[in-house]
Amino acid sequence: MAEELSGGDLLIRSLQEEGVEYIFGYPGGAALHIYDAIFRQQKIEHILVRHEQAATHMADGYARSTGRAGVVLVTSGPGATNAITGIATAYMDSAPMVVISGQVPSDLIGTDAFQETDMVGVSRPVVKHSFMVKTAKEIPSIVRKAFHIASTGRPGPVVIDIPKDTTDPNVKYQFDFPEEVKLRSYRPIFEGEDSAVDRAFKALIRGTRPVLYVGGGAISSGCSELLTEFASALNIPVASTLMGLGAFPCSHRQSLGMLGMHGTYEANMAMHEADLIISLGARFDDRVTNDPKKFCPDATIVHVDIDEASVSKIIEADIAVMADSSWFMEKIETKRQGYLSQEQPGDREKREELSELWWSKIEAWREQHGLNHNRKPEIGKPISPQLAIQALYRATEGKAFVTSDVGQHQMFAAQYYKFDEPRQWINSGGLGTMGFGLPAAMGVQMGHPERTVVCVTGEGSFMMNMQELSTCLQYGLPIKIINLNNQALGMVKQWQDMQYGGRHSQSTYSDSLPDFKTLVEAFGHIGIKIEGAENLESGLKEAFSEPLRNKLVFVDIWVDPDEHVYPMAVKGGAMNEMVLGKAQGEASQQ
Amino acid sequence: MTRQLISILLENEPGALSRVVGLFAQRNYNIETLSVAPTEDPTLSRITLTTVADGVQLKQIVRQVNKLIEVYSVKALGGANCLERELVIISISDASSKQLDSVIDFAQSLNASSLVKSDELGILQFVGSGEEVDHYINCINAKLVELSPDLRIAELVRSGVAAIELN
Repeated sequence: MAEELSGGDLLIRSLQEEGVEYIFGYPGGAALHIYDAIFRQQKIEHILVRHEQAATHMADGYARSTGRAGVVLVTSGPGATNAITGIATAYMDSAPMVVISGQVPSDLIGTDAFQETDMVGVSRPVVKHSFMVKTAKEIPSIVRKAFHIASTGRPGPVVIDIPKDTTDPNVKYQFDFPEEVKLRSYRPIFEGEDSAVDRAFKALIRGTRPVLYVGGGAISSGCSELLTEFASALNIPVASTLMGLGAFPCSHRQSLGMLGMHGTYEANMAMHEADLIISLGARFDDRVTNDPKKFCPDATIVHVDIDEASVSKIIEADIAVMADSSWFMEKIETKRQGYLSQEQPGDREKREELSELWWSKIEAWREQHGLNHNRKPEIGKPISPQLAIQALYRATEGKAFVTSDVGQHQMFAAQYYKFDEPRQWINSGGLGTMGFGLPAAMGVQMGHPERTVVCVTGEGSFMMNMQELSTCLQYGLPIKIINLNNQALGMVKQWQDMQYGGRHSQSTYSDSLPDFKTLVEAFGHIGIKIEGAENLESGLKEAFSEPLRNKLVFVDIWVDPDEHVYPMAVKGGAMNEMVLGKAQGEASQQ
Repeated sequence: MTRQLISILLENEPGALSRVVGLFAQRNYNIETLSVAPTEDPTLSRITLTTVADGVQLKQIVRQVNKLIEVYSVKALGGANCLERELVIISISDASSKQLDSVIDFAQSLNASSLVKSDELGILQFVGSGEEVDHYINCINAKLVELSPDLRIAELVRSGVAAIELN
């Protein structure tokens, strides 16, 4: 005889069965039966946040860094709506997440009851799927389905809305956790067509200027090793999207770094001039393609994606492979091995010659701009944000998990921190959510207690979720926050400089910024302020020193407020049209 | 940009329809007509809808709809591979008895049927493809104008298209 449990206990037991370690949440009326069930158990740790948005970003950071679904618990009404930004963030970046929202009792639904919101309706455009619990009995099977949907195919957030009466502690049901998920209408693809791989490989062998264009899908599919082996064996250049950084080691000779709006010169030039592009788990986002009509004019496009709606959505694929990236990589790597073992010496020579020709072009682009930020720190001058990221890279030996917020600091981190491991770089690429960085870092730290976790942020983004400093103290999270303080909304200001005649409409607040050192100290943490280029290395050294290892350290780095992010794509241009520096940017203004 | 007919089989569950309709709004696709009802398997419903899209957009619409967890299958139907039917009900008021008789005779010559005929009111029903229904409505309008410049259709209700695949 199976044990009898209330709806609240059924929920928590089901989460235990799913192997959940942490729930990130905030209590409230409609969720109190569930919170009481949490009190009755020890297996799952609940992390009490200070704002529901932060709970979702924590779950997101946990999910992206571990590959396991993050779990959020909020109450109805404002609790639920506060979670929406984080759900949308996870949706855009395909992060697996299960969000449980309390709901008013069933008999009050639709009456505009206190703290009532139609959560299923409000969240509908930004979830992979959602469930409304009708009776407590169905809670275990709904939880099972929710985790399955969130974690398979193209991952994403799933909402479970639970009316308070279905978690009533006095009404009990048998606990029966289903082993298998039965969803006849949900059949995520994994394997594609062999013939498509065949055509892709033939196109690759025929091609003379190939580029691998790698996105976040390559990371969630876990194909990094195969990808690295394959690309290395054939000497193919690899460009990454903002989301794909780390899928292929950024410090590898063949890495072109990030492509797109603020991508490297060589990545964007190589894409534009390529005759073959293999896109792996990337979705031809507008920040990558710029004007789709001018996109990669000479290239045969191979598009590998697990989401068939992503294939040919923006750019028509010549060879469409609807499949998981790891499946594709396994197949094409097998073909590669077979091909090379039978390749005639003459053919090999010719292939290598063509490859060298292609690489000599790329090397020339690298030299023309690259990201070789050769500026030396100048005494008395403001710190260059690029140098700050390079110094951070050295201080952490390139091994930290790095989260970021949104803006210039995000682009500098993406450009200058060389991510060699998948899941090492976690940022809000799709939705571009300011306030993501700190809570995401907290989720990463929860998932990886022994690792160094850094949040690269700017003072604008940081102030959107800084209340979580309190949560960090409560749970002893030793995150290192690198604040590139330019006393302005830097990216907005940059656009205003470049496109609005330097009119800084609502993008500055330098006379009202808090003293961040004092602020974080008030929250019980360590603050370090770094001003002047000569103090950068020593300041960072202190932040990452052994005595501060178990402390949250906020490093407030006062950077050059006038710095812009370059390269920058020319609006409405092709990928090879970029502004490479300030002088050029100002010239194009006139 | 042409009229496209899409047939969707989905779980007969609360909220499933709103996901499909919501997706159209969210992705800036339009819905011209829509009909929905349970099928021979009562756990599945059939949505038949028409939209205006080119071939590339149609492919994208089908794939996006197919991604919805509760959608069992989705197909673009068109031309010779399907049979489509729509029903229209038209009421005519403010016509004299003689005028009504005349309209009803005319409608019946177009294979419409008369559902109600009283002194003040006539209600007609016609079934055909969407295109035939358009044509029928035009004919009735023309007939009314011919009888008197002041005569109008009082109310017009279309069911939306239902379609079945021919194999």
